[in-house]
Amino acid sequence: MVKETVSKESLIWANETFLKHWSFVRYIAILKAPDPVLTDDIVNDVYLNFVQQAERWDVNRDPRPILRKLTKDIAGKYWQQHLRSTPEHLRKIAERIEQRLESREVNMDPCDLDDQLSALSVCLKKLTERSRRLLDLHYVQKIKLTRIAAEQEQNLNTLYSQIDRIRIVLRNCIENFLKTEVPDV
Amino acid sequence: MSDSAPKSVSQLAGKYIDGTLSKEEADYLHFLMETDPQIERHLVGSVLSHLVLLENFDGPNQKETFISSKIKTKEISVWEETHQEENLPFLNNQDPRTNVPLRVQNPIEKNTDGSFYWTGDQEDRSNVRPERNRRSRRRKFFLLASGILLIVLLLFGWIFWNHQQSGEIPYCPIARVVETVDPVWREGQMSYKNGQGVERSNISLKSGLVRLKFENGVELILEGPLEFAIKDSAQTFCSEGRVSALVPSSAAGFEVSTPYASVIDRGTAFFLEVDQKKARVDVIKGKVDFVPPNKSPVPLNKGKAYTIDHLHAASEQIAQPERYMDTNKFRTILNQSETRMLESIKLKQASILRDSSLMLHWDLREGIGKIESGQIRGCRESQGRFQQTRSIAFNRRTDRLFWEQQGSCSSLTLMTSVRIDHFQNQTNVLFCSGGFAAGEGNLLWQILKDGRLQLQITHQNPKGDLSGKISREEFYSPAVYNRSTLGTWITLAVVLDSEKKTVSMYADGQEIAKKDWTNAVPLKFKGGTIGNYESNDVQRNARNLNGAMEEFLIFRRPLSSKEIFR
Repeated sequence: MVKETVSKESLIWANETFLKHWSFVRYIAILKAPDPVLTDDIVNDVYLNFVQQAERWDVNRDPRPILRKLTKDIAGKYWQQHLRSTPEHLRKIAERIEQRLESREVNMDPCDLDDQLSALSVCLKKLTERSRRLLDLHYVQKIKLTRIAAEQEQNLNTLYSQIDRIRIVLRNCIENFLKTEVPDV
Repeated sequence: MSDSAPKSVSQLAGKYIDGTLSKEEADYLHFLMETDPQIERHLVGSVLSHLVLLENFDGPNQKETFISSKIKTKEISVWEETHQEENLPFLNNQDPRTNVPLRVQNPIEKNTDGSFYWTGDQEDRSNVRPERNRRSRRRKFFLLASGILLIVLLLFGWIFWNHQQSGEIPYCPIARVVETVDPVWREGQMSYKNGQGVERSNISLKSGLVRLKFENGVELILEGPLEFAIKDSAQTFCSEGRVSALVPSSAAGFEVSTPYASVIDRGTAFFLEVDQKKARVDVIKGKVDFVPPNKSPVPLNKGKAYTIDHLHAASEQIAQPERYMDTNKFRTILNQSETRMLESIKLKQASILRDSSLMLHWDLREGIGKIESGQIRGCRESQGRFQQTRSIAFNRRTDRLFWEQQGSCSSLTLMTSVRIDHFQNQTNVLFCSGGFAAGEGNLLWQILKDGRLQLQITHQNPKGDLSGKISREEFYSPAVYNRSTLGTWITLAVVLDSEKKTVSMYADGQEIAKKDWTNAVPLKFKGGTIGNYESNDVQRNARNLNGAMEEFLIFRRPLSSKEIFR
């Protein structure tokens, strides 16, 4: 998979650097992926591209601009393929959301994924038991909402509203958590 | 069950993320996004939350899965040499953090009674709890919750009892030193730093000012030369010096005794001066009782002063408010003193910058800004050592500074000016160097929970011995931190001298430990992390500094004790 012309030292450096900036690459891939299931593929392609060109990179410089560009370029190619199969009415919304997420990524600390996950773990504990159960069914046990609604004899639209409200509550909680300064003891 | 056409934005957002939006609903949602920015923000927030949730529940295994797939390919020899030994233990398909097998996804089917069951492998059935009907499930849940609550209460009681036995009760000193101005402490007597807790003890000043705040709200400004003793939160003794007191009404009864008389405050501000011959009190506000020995208290109101000498001769005068040191006057003097000190620091820094052995100098007194050869990750600004300066605070487990320079040296000096606010974490990492290769050293400098400094020098044995055998030397200092010194600024240093083969540690310019460095290996840096450990893994035990930092320096040579003291 990797060209044999890349020296071992460069490969080791590339591996270490990529793993060090794993969260950074993954965060951009999450924001740029046309579908979350494609995130792993994008990260894998970024790795291969980065390692194959390891001899080109200046080891003394910050590798993040390179990693960002690679991730965006590769995600862009996935977008083009994805859009071909996406209906027009959904494509407009997806493109709009993608633009807003792009401006978030540019304006915020690019390594925000770790912070967000830390904040999320705190915010999940603040949810009600019912909300946590719904998240467990949908995100952990991977049960579709239509099925949950059917089994719990609940109106599906009500369920859509519920889970969306939980997402918004978590989003607000995460953003407030990240904004709040921890007071000195 | 009927599904009427959705109307609310929440429903549309939920359907969009679920991929079940119809054309009419999508057009409607797009129209709403174009006309109302708030709706667009709502949808973007929902989508981002959904992505983070997916990452949270799927993400932690992704890095391991990624590396695992790479190790199975031709790059295996490269990965073995890649310094990521933390990531390798997952190869047995267990979560390296908990040793729990990674989640297996199985399809779900439904029993005739409406409950769910796994249809995975037989071996997995033991991990599955079949669904019961709602009533018995609720009963079991309540029983389980009650049981857990009981255990938690017992555990808390046990922990509290243990803390009582070991004396680890929350620290509430009688008073704290809030600020000082050019204090010169008497020899052989305790010296106090800004923020330090004060218990029953003496304060002896040759000169300078100290501002104290008691737990009951009393504020004192002490002026040297001074001999002052704290007995408890309501009783003090002054045999020499000047005391400006501000006593809230809730602390009425606060007493300052002298060799000649006692002053008992009734909710006021007063000035007290004591020397070898007399004591004088000026009442600035409110009322005090002046109590000569074996005599009735003399009530004094605002504007009155009273003097008593060593022969017990007493006289009443008019108060002189200009003698009283209030907070504003104190702050003015403090600002002047700090300005002088900052100028002195700048001069010292100028000479430091001329030192050719200097590898790194980060002055963080102006707070968050650009740093050379490095990045700030997550840190916030905090109050610095001086009123006029700032610092960088490390409070979250991901806060850190990255140093990106590479280099090597045989001897080394690390110095930092740091404030530790609490010991929530097991360790507070000051510096962790990045990456090391066979035969070279890797450094970890940190403060342990018991207040001691620790330096770890780790290195792999030379090439040919890649079974993971590493050598490690550890150096410790006596405790630098205790409960009363949390929240104070201390300058710490560690010196690695390859010629003398010694490691020395310093606190505020004083050598506190010196040990032999038996295996003095070259030290190679591929950058480093300041204020946190190198790993980005948020699931590990937090090792970030719980406090703030205002300066960090690295020299490529061992500094002498004199240089460090200066």
